[in-house]
Amino acid sequence: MRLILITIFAVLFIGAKAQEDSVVVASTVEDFQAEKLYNEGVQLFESKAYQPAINKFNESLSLNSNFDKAYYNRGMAKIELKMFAEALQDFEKALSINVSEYSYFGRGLAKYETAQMNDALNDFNLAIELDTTNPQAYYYRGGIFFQLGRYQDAILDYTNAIQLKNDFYYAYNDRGSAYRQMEDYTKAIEDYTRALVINDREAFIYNNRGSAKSRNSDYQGAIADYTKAINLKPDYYIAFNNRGKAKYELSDYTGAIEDFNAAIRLKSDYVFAFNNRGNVKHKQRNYQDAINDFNQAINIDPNYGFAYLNRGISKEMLRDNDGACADWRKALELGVSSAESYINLQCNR
Amino acid sequence: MNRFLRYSLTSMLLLLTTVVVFSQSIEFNKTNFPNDKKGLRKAIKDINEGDKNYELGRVMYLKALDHYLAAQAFNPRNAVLNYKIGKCYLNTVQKDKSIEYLERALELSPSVSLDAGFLLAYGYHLTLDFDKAIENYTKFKNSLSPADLETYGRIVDRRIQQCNVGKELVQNPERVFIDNLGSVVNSQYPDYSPMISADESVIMFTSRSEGSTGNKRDPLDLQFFEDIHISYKIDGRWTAARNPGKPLNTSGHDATAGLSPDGQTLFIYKGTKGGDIYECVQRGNNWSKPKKMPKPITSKFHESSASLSPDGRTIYFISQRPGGYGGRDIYKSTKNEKGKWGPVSNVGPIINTEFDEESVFMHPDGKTMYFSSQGHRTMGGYDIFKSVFENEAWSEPQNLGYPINTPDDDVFFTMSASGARGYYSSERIGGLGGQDIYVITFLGAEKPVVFHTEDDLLAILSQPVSGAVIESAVEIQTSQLTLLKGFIRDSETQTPLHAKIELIDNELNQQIAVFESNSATGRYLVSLPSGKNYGLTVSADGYLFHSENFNISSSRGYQEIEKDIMLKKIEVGTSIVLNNIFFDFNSANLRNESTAELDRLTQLLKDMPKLKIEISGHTDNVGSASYNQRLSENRAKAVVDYLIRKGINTDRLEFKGYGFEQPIATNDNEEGRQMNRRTEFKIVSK
Repeated sequence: MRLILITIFAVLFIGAKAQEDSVVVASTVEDFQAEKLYNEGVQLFESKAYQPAINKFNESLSLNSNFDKAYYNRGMAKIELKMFAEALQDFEKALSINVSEYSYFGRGLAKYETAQMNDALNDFNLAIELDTTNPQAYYYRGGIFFQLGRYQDAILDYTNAIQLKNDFYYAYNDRGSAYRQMEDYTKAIEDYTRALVINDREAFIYNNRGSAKSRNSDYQGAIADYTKAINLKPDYYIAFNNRGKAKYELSDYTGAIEDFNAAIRLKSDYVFAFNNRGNVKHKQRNYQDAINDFNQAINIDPNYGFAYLNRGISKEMLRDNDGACADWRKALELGVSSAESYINLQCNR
Repeated sequence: MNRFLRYSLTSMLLLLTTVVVFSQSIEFNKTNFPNDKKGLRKAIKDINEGDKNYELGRVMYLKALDHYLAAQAFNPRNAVLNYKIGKCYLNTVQKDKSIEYLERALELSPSVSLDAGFLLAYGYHLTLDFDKAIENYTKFKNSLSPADLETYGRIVDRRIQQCNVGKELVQNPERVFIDNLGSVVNSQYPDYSPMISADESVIMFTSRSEGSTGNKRDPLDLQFFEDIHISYKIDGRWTAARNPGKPLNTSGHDATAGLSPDGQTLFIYKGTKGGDIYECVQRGNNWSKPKKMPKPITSKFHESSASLSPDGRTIYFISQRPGGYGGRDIYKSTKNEKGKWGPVSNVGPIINTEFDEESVFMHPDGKTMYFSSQGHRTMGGYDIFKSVFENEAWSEPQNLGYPINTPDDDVFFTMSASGARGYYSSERIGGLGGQDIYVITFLGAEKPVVFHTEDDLLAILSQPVSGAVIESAVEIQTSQLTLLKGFIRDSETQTPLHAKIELIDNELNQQIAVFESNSATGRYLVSLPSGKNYGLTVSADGYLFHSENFNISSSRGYQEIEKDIMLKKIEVGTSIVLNNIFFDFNSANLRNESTAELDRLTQLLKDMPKLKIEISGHTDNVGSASYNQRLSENRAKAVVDYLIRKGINTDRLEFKGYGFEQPIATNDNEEGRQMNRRTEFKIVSK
C-alpha cells in the first residue's frame, strides 16, 4: 500500500541557504541564470511537479555543470518519480563535487530503493556521521536494520528518530513492528498506540495493532482494531483477511468466512484469503468446499506450498489418502517442512 | 456361550424382586377388551411365545421382540409388556429404542419391576445420554431399600462414575475412521476376536457362521459353534475368509485367543474344563494339532486370550486363578533357554484391577500392552486400555477413548505393527449382523491447518510483510519398531527354505530370539523393537549361514523392511559377507559386538572339520590404496587370529586384504561405502 517517501531536503536548500550560497557563488551571468532556473525548479518540486522541476534542473545544470545542489535536487525529484537508477547517478555526481550528508542520504535512499541494502546502510552511516540531528537518516537506517532482521538496532534508530522528531508517528509504528518481530507484543501495542495518538487516521497502524493483539491472543481487541482500519479504508483487504483469522480463533466461523469473502471481493486473486477460507471450511468439516478453495489458491499460485499442505489435510478427511500424500509431497517440495512428518507417518506404509 | 461372559443385567439384579403393582397399566383381559376376543387371544398367545424366548436369555431377545411387538400393537399400555420390550431392545443393536418403552413402563406403573429404573438409566448410558443416565441412576439409587442399597449402591455409584468418564471422553473424541471389514470377512452371524499378524497380511478370527465344523448349534444359545476363520490380504484387499477346518476347528467351540507377530503361532481358546488356551503352529501349509498350554500357564481355573512378546519368549494371558487382584487378571510367563515356560506371575496392580481384565495384546514393539478392562476409567462395560512398559514399570493405563470405546463392551483389540490401524469386533448399526470385525484407522493428533496473513508493518515499505501463521507442530507418534520381513530361498534354485532365524543383541552378545521361516513359502517376519544393535543370522542345513546387521537407535520410528534372503549351499568357491563383524575406526581392533558372529564361524568350522576357508578384508575407496590394503589385510588377520585362539587349526585358515579392489557397491555414497567395508569368508575346500 503506502510508499511513504519522505523528501524534504529540496526545501531546505532554497530559501535562506540557497540564496546565501548564490550571493557568494554567483559571479558570472551564467551562474546567476543557473541559480534562477534552480530556484524555479525547487518551486516546481514543492508543488509536486517533479518532471517540470527536473527540466528546470537540467537547464540549470547546462549552464553550471558543477552545481552540486541542482544534482541533488534533481536526484530527489527522480526518486519521487521512482527513477532510482538515474537518481543514484545524480547523487554520485553531487558527491563528486562536494561531500555532504545530504548527498549521502540521497544516495542511501536510491540504493535502499534498489534493494542494495548494505550499500544503503553504509551511506546512511556516513550521513549520520556528518549530521547526527537528521531524524530521517535514523528512520531509514532503522528500516534497513529491520529488513535485515536486526530489530534491536532498528529500535535504537527509531528511538533516535523519535527523540529528534517527537511527532514522528511512522517511527513509532515501525518501532512497534520491530518489537512485534521480537515477539514483545506489549511494547509493540504501546508504540502503535502512541502512533495512533498522533495520527488516528492511518488504517495500517490500526491493522498492525490488531495483529499485535491477535498474536497476544487478544482476539476481541484485534477485531476491534481491524474494524477501525476497515472503517478508515473500506477496501483494505489485508485487514479483512486478518479479521477473518481473528474471528476463526474465536470459533466464529461464519464471521470468518464473511471476512475472507470480503477480502476476495476486493482482491479477486488474493491467495491468502482463499487458503484461509478453505481452512475455516475444513474446520466446519466441509472438506470438499475446503478443497475447492485450496484449488483456487493453487490455480492462482501453483507454487503456494501451504495450500497444498492444507488441501492434503482436507483430502485425508475424505479418505483420499493417495491425494493427501501427493499434496504433502508437493508441499514439502515447495519448502513446507511440516509436511515431512505427515508423509513419514501416513504415506510410507 | 463362549469364553467371554457378558455380564448380564438380569443376573446382576436377579435378587431384586419383581413386584407388579397395578396402576394405569392396562391388562390383557376380557374386561379391558370385551369386543375383540380374537385379537386378545392372539395377543396373549404372542406374549406367551415371547416369554418362552425371553426366558432363554438375552440371545433370544430378538425373537421374543417380534412377538412382544405384535402384542404391543394390540395394547400399547401394558406396563409389564413395555418393560419387557424395553429390556429386549437393550440387548439388541437398537439400544436407543429401549428408552421409550422403559419410560412408558415406569409411567404406567412405577413399580413395574424393581430394576426398570436401572435399565432405563442404562439405556441412556448406552446411548451416550450421560446426563439423563446419571439422573436415572441417582433416582434408582434413591428408591432402593436400605438392604438393597447395601448390595447395589456401589454398583450404581460405579455406573455414575462411568457416565462421568464417558462425558469426558465423548467431548474429546479420538480422530479415527472405523470401517467394517466388509462381507468378504464378516458374515451375517457373529464374527469376533480378530487376530492379525504384525504386517496385517493375515487375519484370523472367530465366527459363528453357518457351515461350522460339524455344522451344529450350541444348545445354550442356539447359534452355530465357534470356528476359526482365516483371510489373507493380497494387494491391499482382504480375500474371502475361509474355514481352515481340522485340526484348528472341531465340532465344539474353537475361538481365536492370540496370534504371534509372524502369524505362525496361533492360540486357541476352548471353553472346556473352565476354559484353556491351546497352541498350534503353522508348518508349511499345515497347522499342528492344537496342544493345550502346559502348566503352570494352564490351571484348573479359567484361562483365555494370550499374546506373545516379539521375541516369542514371554506370554501374556488372562487367567482367573486365585491370588490375583480380583476377577480375571493378566499374567505372564517366560520361556527358559530350553523352551520351557517358567513360573507365572501377575503383571501387577497398575494393570489389574478388582474388576475383570480381558483380551490382552502385546504390541510387536515389545512394550505397549493393549487390554480390555471393566476397571480403570471405563465408560461402561469393558473398555480398551493401553499401558507402556518403560523404566521397569507399567504406565497408568490409558483409555483408548471414544469412539473406539463405547459404554458397551469393547474387547478383542489388536494393533498393527505400524500403529496406524487397530482391529476389533463390535456390534453396530449398519453391520452385517451380530458382531462384526472393524478396522480402526488412527489419524493421530489433529493436523494444524496453516493460515496466511500479512500486515503493513513498515510505513516506508510499499509491500506488506506476510507471514504464515503456523500453529505449534503436532508431534507425530509412530510405533518404535522395525518390521523385517521377506522370503528365504535357495540362491540357486529359488526354492523356499525352512530356515532358522537367530536374533542376537550384539552389544550384550546374547541371543534374543529364534524364529523359523515357513517351509512351504519361505516367508519370515521379525519385529525389531528400536534401541538395539541386532545381529540376524539365517541358517539352514547344508547352507552357509547368512548374517545381517540392523543397528536401530532408540528414537527410530516405525519402518518396514522387506528383505529376501538367499542362502548359499556349502560349496567350494562360495563366499558370504560377515555383516556382524565390527572393527574400531581405522583399526584392525575387533569390537566386542563381533563375538557372536565370530563364535558362529568357529562353530561352523568345528562342525565341518574338513572345511578350509579364506577370510578377506575389504574397504571403501577413502584413503590410499596401500593404506587400505594394509588395513584390510590386518582386519582379515584379526579374524583368523581369533579363530586360531578358539582352537581352529592354522592350516585351515587363510587371510587376504583386498583394499578397495573388489567393491560390491558404489563408493559414491555412504550407503555403498558402508557395504564395501566388509569382511568375507570363502570356502577354499571341503
